Amino acid sequence: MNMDQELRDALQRKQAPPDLADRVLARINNGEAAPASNRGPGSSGVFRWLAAAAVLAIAVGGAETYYTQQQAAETARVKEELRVALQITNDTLARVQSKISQPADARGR
Amino acid sequence: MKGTVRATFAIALFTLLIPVAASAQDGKLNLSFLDRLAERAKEKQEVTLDESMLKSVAPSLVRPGPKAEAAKQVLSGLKGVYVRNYEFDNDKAYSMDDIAAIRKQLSAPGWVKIVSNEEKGKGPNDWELQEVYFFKQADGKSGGIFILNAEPGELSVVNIVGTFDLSSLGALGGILGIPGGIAAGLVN
Repeated sequence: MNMDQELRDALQRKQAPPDLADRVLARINNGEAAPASNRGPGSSGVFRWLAAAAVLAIAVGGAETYYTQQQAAETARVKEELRVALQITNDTLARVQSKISQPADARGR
Repeated sequence: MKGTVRATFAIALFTLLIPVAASAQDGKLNLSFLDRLAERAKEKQEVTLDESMLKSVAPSLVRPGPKAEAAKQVLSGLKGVYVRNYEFDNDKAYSMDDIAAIRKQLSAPGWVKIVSNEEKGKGPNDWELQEVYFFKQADGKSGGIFILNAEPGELSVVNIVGTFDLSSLGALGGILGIPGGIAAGLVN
């Protein structure tokens, strides 16, 4: 059997059993849950809690990292602005000092 | 009736004047008058750091070192750093009138002029002005400084608010890698 044939068989439309609808409705009316054959006994709740804890840990860690990075960027920005401000202050005061220490004649006025 | 109206007017006027008086008491000047000059500037450097900005970064700004303690002290006393530095394409870009609104604020109580140099040449644009003011608080401590260097085509305005002295400001400059002390010549 080649692959085309296998695919065709696998995807072939199959008729549902005639009593499927009745069985489903009966189970719904009886309040039965779907069989948990693929889950370990009691694993559902633990898994959910673990998943929630993992998501929470990732979220908190991410937020903390983001906050730390923002804080570092803000510190760097303020530090640079302060450096520029003090540099201009220094330059301006030096300019004022040179002006007041010059004799009036030397100023070319 | 007239008395009530007068009293209401007086209270309203007093309420309006409170912010003006309050702003005049902390050594902070309104530099917004320079905004229109900034639009004409070829090059500009503007720094606006208020108290909350400075306080929020102060702990991480100063690294351990010989001047760290002095720098921390300066930072704790600073309430604001406002700097405007403009360079213009031509000498007629601004005049004395453009900076008159700033200088008018310095006539408020508390401001003390310590340095002034005004030069006027023959031409209309041949002028220079350098001024340094200190703001003296009610308790006698320094509450701020204002430095002005105005030349044709160039304008620098510095307003640092808070309790500090220039020599300790130099310590902060050293921490931030600025060569030479702030106003070394004026202080020493």
